[in-house]
Amino acid sequence: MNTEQSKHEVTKNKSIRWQLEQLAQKKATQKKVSHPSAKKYHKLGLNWKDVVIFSLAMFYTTLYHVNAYAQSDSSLQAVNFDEITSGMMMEFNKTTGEYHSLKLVQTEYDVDVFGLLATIKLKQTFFNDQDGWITEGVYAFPMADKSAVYELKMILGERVIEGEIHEKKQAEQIYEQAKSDGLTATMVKQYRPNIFTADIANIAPQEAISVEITYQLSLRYEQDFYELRLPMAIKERYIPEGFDAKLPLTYGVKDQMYRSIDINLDVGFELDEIRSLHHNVEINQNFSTQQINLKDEQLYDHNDFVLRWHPTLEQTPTAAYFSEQKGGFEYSLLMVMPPSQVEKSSQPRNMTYIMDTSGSMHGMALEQSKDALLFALSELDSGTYFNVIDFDSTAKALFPSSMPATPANIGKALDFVDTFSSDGGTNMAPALQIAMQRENIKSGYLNQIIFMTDGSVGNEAQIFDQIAQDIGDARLFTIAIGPAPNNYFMNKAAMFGRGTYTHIAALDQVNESMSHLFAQLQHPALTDVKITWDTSDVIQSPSVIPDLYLDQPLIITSKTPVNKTTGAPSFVVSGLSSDGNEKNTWSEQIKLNDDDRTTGISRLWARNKVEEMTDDLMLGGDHELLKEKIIDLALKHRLITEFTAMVAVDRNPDASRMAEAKAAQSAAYPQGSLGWRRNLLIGMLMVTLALMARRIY
Amino acid sequence: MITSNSRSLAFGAKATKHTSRSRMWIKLIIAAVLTVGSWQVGSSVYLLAKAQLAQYLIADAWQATLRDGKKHKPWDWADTHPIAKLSFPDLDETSYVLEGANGRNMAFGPARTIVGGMPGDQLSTIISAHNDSHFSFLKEVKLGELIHVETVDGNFAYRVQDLKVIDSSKQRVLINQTDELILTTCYPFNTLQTGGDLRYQVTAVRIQST
Repeated sequence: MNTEQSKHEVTKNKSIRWQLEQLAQKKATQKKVSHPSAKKYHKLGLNWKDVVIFSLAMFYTTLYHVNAYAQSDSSLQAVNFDEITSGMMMEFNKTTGEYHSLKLVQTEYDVDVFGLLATIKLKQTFFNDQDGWITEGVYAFPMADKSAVYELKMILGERVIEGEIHEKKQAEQIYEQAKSDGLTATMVKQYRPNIFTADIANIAPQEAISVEITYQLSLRYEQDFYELRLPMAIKERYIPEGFDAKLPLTYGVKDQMYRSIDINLDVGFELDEIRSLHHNVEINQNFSTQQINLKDEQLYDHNDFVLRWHPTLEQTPTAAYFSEQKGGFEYSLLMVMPPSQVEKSSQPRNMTYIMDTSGSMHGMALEQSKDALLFALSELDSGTYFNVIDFDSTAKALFPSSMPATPANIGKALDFVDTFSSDGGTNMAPALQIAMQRENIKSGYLNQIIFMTDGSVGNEAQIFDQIAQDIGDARLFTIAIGPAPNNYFMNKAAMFGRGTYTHIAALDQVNESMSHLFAQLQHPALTDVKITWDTSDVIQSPSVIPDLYLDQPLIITSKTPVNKTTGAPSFVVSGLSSDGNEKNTWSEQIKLNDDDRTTGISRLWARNKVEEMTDDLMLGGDHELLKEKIIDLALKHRLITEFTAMVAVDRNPDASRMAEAKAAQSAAYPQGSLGWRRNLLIGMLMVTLALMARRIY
Repeated sequence: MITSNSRSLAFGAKATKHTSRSRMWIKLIIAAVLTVGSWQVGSSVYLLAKAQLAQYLIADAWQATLRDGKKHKPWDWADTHPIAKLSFPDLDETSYVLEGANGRNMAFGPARTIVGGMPGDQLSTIISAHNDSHFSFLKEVKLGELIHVETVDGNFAYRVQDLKVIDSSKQRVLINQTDELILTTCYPFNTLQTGGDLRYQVTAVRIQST
């Protein structure tokens, strides 16, 4: 029984075991079955490495809570002066790059033109409409080309505080000290030759402060008119589409765009026409002077204000001369028109056209320059060689070397020009290099490079250096396109390239301006221009006189010692017009006579000297020596330069004002995070994703 | 039957061709994502490493300054110099303060706002740093704790009197006519976004050190 029972048990056991075995077997088979599917999962990529990477990433995400408050606001970025349009007044903290808005309520130009000289008072009135003090504001504004800035006045209510000229570093120290002492102060500096800044410290609530600077410039007579140009904007490309007065308080533009321009024109001869190129003006005659006023108070455009006046035909000048006696010296400004040459040059020409098609040329400017280029191509005769180079971020030449202007080649050029569209950066150097390299220069020919651009570049000095180095026997002619080009660049590039600068202000002037340039290109230039003085110790500027092209006046400023016994000094101007092998000389004697009316010629002379030395600096002259000389000259003549600045400090405020200003001193909160976390997280997520994806594929 | 077979075959052939091309693309995209990702990781590690390592060089420069009282640049091309050593005894943290609170200096260490004062002056001293590097511990600072500042003029002790969060688009740091220490950093801490308007401000008043 027992055994039977046990047998039974055994069978029972057996059956259990069997059952278990069956189960185990089932499991095994299941395992076997599940194996391929595991492989499938494996293929999907969740092995331990991925899990580690993924959990690391997850770990990081849990570490940071994304906070909705901490949204980045691009308007709080540091300000780059290159991106400031003229219309920006802001309370700008340089230590942090953050700024709050102030209001520029009025910009007034008061211009006095006498003969060749324009004296311009530029008054900017700022208003703090907030209830608190404003510790500091910085305003950037454009400066007319070739101007000598020599006076600064800060006007606080009834009080007028005169600015002093100092070496830049010293001026900065004085200003900073005044600022931290709670004194109201203004500092005017040259940021670039044609961009100035005004720093203003400690403006009381509901207070208006005016900064008035005075500068002089000599006008130019060219073609058949005199021109006065006042830039209204720093750079054309940074101007927003429409002017929006309702900008957020923390963001920049608070210039209300109110401009007034009043010009008193005393030219001393009869005028044929006065014309404002871009703005509506009102012209009133008052005896021998003309009063010109801007009609629109609020300017929404950023075109340069350009006024041209044409003398009547019989009044066309041949020479003009102004002088000033100061400190035992006679300073003079003179303009001589060389005789027009009737004969065209017989030398064959090789023309290279460089065209800027960068983003800043978009719209009108590109259309204008395309028109100009098409005009130029249509004027080519078959004996002329030519090439076309197009550049934005990169440069592209039509032909590998210059080709004769056959109808077929011109056809190719026209097709090439048609494809131009504007985008990319303004990378000039490669285009200029192609134009000046051997393949594009033909010996025995007049090599002329025509450079069409708006000059919106930041590396001016580098480009000037390149031109001066490589120009050789070629000549560079610049054509500015658009209503507000970088005149400083255009002028200087042409000077280093020993050519001329032409500005095409509007689309309807393309043909007129281009025809004039072509006349210049076809006529031989007056070379070896010399001035021989009858006295010694003359310092003239420019010291080396450039070649003169058709209709181009010779303008020089000079400093001569006053000698009572010999009377006014005189000089002889001479030049050589060479056309192939033929050489013609020209000379003219001029005696200097004091006009007793002009002032400021000494400043212009000093300013031109400073410019010459700055050119030397750019071309690698002795930095320390030149800097010292520039500072010396600038301090003597009260000029704002690269190394000198003007500062005005309200030294005697009432005690409560100073205390209030000091008590209200504040600083903007600096940015407070490096931002590596976000990068790290994004980076890790990307790496994780990529690794996972790689396992799948 | 035959036709459908051949059709499916044709489909198959087409599909493999397609996948091999798209696979190449996917590989390329993966490689690109991998590169960008590791570049991101690398750059953030670089930022952090720069922030940490610079403190050693700044510490050396500060020691040199303490020795001879002159300004020493932490590295040759630096346009700033250390002006103080900050220490938080309760948190066991120290860091070296640079002159001029701009973004460049703050990448290397806490920096002082120039318009403010220096310890010892009757003018607020303002020191700022990033909340994800040198001032990440600022959130742990508690009221009543001590902060020591060492300058060339000696040692100064401050007691934390106020902790607050402000909106920098509406408010500015007030520079008061008292000897106080103001530490600022971005708020909130441990956030992914940067460049927000909120700031965390710790204000500590001078106490006569013993």
